[in-house]
Amino acid sequence: MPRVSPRGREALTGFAFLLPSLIPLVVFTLYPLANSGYLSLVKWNLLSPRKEFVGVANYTRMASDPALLNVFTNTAVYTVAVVSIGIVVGLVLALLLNRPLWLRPIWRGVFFLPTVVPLAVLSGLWLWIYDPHFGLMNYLLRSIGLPASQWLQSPTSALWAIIVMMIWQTAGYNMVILLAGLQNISEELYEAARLDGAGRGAILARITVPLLSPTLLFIVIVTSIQAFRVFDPIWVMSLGTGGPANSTATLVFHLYRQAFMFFEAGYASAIAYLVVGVALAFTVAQFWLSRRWVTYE
Amino acid sequence: MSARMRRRPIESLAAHLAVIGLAALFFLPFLWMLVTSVKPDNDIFLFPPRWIPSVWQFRNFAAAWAKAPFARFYINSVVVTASIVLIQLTTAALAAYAFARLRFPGKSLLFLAYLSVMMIPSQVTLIPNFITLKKLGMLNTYWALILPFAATGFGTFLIRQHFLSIPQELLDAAVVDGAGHLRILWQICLPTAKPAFATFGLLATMWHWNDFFWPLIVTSSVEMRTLPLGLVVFTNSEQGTSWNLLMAAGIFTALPIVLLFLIAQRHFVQGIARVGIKG
Repeated sequence: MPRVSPRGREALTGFAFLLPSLIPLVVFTLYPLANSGYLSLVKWNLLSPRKEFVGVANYTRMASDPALLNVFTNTAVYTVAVVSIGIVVGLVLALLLNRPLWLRPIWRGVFFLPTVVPLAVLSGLWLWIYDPHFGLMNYLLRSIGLPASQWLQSPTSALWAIIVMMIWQTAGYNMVILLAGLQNISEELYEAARLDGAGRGAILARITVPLLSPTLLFIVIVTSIQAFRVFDPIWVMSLGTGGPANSTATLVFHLYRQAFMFFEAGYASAIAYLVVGVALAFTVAQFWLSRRWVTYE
Repeated sequence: MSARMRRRPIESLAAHLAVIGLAALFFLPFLWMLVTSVKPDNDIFLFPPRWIPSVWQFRNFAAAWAKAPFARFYINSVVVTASIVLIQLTTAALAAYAFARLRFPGKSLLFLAYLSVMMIPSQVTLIPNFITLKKLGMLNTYWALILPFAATGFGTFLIRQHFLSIPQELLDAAVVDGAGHLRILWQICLPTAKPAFATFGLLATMWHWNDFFWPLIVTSSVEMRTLPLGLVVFTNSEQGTSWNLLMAAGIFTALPIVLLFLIAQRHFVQGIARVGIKG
């Protein structure tokens, strides 16, 4: 046996320890990342052995795909609404819980519970809540004198119905992250502001929100990327159709539909790259914009 | 009663009322779910709805269980989730040890690669992975549900951070005793990094138990479905949805993860607050 230096042996051990994760990483993440790029340049029905090279045709096709504009708009509306309203609700919950309260872990648990339950279960539950005739939502609306709605069965309200549910689902997550941020703000700052006679609104606007801004930036980025990739509730609540009238179809739903229902693997791969590109551009833009509104101590 | 509560009793009362009101609002959908799950069919189609069922029909759970092969779905979910979490903990622990404690060429580049994997959304890898698994003849098997998740950049990163904080003297002492790296990892690093393993294990359990998208893509027969995907038999049925059965099935689908959350709420919440990543 050849002699191996201690250094060489350490390196060999290192590689041996990496191997069990490196192999799946290469096979199921790095190779597919490159392969998707290639697939986005071919026309292929996912099944046949023949792939026809079409250059950037799949990308130019996006410009003339009316369905793509529709799913893009739906995704944008969904993302902006869920992220912005979700953060406001999460902030309200965090501010409330960041004070001495009886049974605090219980309240925190209740707000956080929707984050833990499988989204497929929640989607099924809200499908029932939104039932136009016997559902909880219309019952509550009518009992406070508001008009009932068709919710998931009308193209004008279906996406908003899903948005409302997803705000409820993500608020607890935002709350937990914001609570951690709030607990890093020193009590002395608040005391000093109170001594200076600052009111509640001024403290919120001048101390809490600015000191929380790095946390807020983090949440905006994480939840936007998450929301931008929404699929489960769309699939379950539109019964796998993206309807009514495509009103709830999102980008990733469109990708799924193109690949596994229409067998347009090349076009779907191009959409996958679009999804990643937009998410990346959004993240970079947020970091860039954040210089204007995020303050680091 | 804390000083602040005593100092401003009215403010404190208002805060409590607000929290209780909001908590009731947040919990209302779950209450509706629990009530619906034990209602007889006649009670479902009533307006205004009843909050207390005319009969408490607990056999809905048995009926839901029998409506599709839910025993099989349960086994599938347990096998798949447990396998993924155990494999991820193992591969991540080994890689984390290599990155934290061993010297080898190309280490920082490889670590960067592991980190960037965290940022790659599953949508880009979806179609090639589907094809790879098809070529390997693994579609519609446990392999397809488990193998793509064998490695975790996030878990590796989290555990590496804990391994880095283990004092060097502790490890040196072990080396003097003649322990190999595998033994050092097993006997010294694992016990000290227990909280990191617990946090990551809990989050990974939740993500993979709840996963809907990947099983939808790679399973084709009903027998291979996991629980979240199994629920679809109720919503996509021809005769319309049996809401009471869907709610009952939803409860037994969510139960293990909710119980885990109740037992380990602190771990969950601190884990999320510390790492901030969603599944």
